Amino acid sequence: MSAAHNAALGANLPRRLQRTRVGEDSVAAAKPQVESSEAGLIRRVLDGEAEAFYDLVRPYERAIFSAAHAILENETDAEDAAQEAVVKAYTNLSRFRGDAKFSTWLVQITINEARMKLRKDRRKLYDSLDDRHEEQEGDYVPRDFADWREIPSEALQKKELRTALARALASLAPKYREVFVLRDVQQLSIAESAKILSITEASVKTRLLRARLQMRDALAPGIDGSWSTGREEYQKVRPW
Amino acid sequence: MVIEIKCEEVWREISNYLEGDLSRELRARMEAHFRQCERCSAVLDGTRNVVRLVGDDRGFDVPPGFGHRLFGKLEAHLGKAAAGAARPVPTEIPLGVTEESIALGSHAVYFWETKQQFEDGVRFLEPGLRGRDRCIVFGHDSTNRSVVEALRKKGLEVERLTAQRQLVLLSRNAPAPVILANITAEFKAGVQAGAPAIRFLGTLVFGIEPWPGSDNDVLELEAKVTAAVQRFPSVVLCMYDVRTLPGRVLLKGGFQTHPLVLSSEGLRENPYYIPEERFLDALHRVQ
Repeated sequence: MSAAHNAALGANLPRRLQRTRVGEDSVAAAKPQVESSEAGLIRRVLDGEAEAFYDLVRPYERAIFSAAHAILENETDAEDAAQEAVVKAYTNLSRFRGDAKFSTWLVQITINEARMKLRKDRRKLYDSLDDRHEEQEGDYVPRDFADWREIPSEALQKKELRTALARALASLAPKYREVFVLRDVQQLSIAESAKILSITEASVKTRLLRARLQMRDALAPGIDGSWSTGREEYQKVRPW
Repeated sequence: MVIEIKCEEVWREISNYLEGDLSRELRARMEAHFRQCERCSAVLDGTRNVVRLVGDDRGFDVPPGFGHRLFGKLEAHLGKAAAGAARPVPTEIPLGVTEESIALGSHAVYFWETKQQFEDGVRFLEPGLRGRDRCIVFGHDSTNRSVVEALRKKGLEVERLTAQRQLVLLSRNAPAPVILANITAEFKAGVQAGAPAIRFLGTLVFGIEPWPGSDNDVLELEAKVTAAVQRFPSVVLCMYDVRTLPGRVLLKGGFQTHPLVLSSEGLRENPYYIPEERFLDALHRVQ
């Protein structure tokens, strides 16, 4: 991640988030220790210590769920796919070569598992949804130009905001949602997202653009107008 | 000199701008554009704000108890591999409403006022229904229907779970001693069927349908449940509707018969709890 990115995106991030942005210097500095302990856990599992697998996977519970949910759009199905993915990761651990990060490998297995489940359970629905959005490859034009007041991260403690985010995410077509979840929710790099989804980096960037602009449009009305610049001005762009 | 750039081109590159993935020249043109175009700078600020929010761990909820259930299939897989290796007996289960766990044998009260708070309380059953726990819902028929509706909204297949008796609905249609006997029988049936834990969700609402007994009948039932629940691998959560229940029932039933209180702040020990014997003594003395 470049210094320019930090200036554009990361400058005001809380310290905790700055640490978790993929590819930043602080992450790079912390890497060897994390990876060696992961490598240690992997060795222990391969040596027959199944319990170590729990410690290996536990830090990525949230990533596994969000990846599966991005595809299946249903908590029950996402949990089912996540549990299957954990079994697959365990039984195939000896095939993990360490050329990717373990988390990337795990999320990739989860995505594959979720896609398999989707194809099996409701193939027609998925196809039709994807077809409908396939034609949207042209430029996306923002729908809303309201200058809303910055929503601080602390507001995430409010259930209404979390619900609004979840609803906005659900409104994206699957292929945009997948990319958005990997890059912006899980904060994987463009290259990692491309590898996991088996698409080119250029495709990741194109889909990410649309996903980000659509998410902004979906959230622009606010939950009750309270994060706009004020009710009156707001009503000019949103007549209701 | 910076060459001007159109809004359409800015929108096309806005994501790459946030990534820092642009040539210095294009970046300078966009920055010049943002300085004089309110619409594009609104789009930029909003998009940056969204990216920052969704990257925060607090942005999206993971279902309560997900971490506990994530290894469910792996354990079954390993269990088969280990051919009958002894499984540890759980001493606590995920609470479902918050991220906490709750010890088996617990009896807790949860006060609710809004529909959202009611639905949050019903989440207590979710980890159990997604796992193998026996879940019993007890209350007036209309409230039981609201519980079922809230479960359905969570994507749970209520009909299948009911048919398999993993979800059991009990009606508040008899006096306390009969109800207590029915509850105990259901707990036993759950254990015999191999459920690792029993989750009991009781609801108390006033004014929808008449109670089969007096207020004291309800209070006696609540006082006795605390002891009954400790004989089984079970947790009882009672949801009290603060909008409709009289103060006396809230005080004596809600506060004095439950060792634990659950709220959005989490699970807490209840300092107002009075052990069964002393509570019933006091209740009968007043009578």
